[in-house]
Amino acid sequence: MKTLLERLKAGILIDNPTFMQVLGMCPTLAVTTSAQNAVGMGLATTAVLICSNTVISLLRKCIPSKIRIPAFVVIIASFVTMIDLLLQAYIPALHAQLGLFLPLIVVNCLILGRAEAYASKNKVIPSLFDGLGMGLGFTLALTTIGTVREILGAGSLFGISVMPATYEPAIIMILAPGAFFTLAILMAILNAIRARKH
Amino acid sequence: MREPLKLGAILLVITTICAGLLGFINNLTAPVIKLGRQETQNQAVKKLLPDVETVKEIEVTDQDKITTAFITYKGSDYTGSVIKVYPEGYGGSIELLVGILPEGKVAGIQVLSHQETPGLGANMDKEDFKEQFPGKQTPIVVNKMNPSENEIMAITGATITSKGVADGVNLAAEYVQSHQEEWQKGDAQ
Repeated sequence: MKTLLERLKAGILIDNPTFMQVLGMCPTLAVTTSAQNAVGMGLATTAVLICSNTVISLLRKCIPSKIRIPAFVVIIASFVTMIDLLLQAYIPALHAQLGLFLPLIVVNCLILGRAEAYASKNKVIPSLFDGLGMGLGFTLALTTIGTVREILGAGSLFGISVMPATYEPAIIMILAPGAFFTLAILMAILNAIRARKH
Repeated sequence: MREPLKLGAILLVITTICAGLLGFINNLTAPVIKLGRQETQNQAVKKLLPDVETVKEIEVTDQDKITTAFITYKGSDYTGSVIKVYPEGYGGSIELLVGILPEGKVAGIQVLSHQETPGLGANMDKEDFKEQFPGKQTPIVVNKMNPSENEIMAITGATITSKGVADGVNLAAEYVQSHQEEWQKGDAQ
């Protein structure tokens, strides 16, 4: 039980995939134009991460280490495609929102990174929790960035206006540079907090 | 010599299982997906031309940017058409449905999908922009301020997107103009 909670804590706080490991930057920068997109992308990634971590942990003794990378890539890509097709067929409204981002999950190095660093060396249940923790940490980080960008760049949060009508949205915040600004400032704040603690 | 073969064989097993699973799920979902797409399309057509009874769908093969035309009738009267057109936006093709009334005026537009910049070009999917089109006579011209009768106001910071949409509408209207006569006779085949 202790290891499981530790996995969650590691994923969400100590080893946060975005702010600490700096993994999966492509979706982090591209998708966080609004809080809603960020949550959607985070949860979709979490689902893939849990599935891929579980399966890779199950197969860890059957996959020789020399071909582990291609094997992982095939497994991850298959999961993403399956989720893509299932969403498209049964939850088209959600797919319309996430459609563009789903294929991006394949190239998210966070998923391959966790398969390589954790799932291929550990038992199934801890691997599952590692996937859950990392996924939630990723979702949290994306949502934070998305919230900041949406409030400053569009004057709204989850599509609802939150700024006074006189506020002129800074469009640059929802364009690519805004993603870099927000990520850099948030990371700097977190690093400052960490440095003070030590 | 043996090891590469063994490794290859293991990879083959993994990829075969994955391919099999994907094929199975694809078979399972393909009809549902197709049905859902048609449903969305039909609803969009209905929204553009609400007062119709039958919709005839024809595939357009002789055009570069037009793929489908939905010809609508009420009884045996031609009541307008909806054209699926793919004009170029800023971020790639825009998938657009354009409704054209029998007298040549625009009935309205519906955006099915696009890859425009969020906050700029993506605003074309908002009502403020789309509601400018109904009732306009083509060719539509994009204006940056004070649009006159057959002009539309460009989206702030997204002139290319606005022009793309207007081009799509004009293209659709042109296509309708050259085919409307045969459709009015009711032989849309």
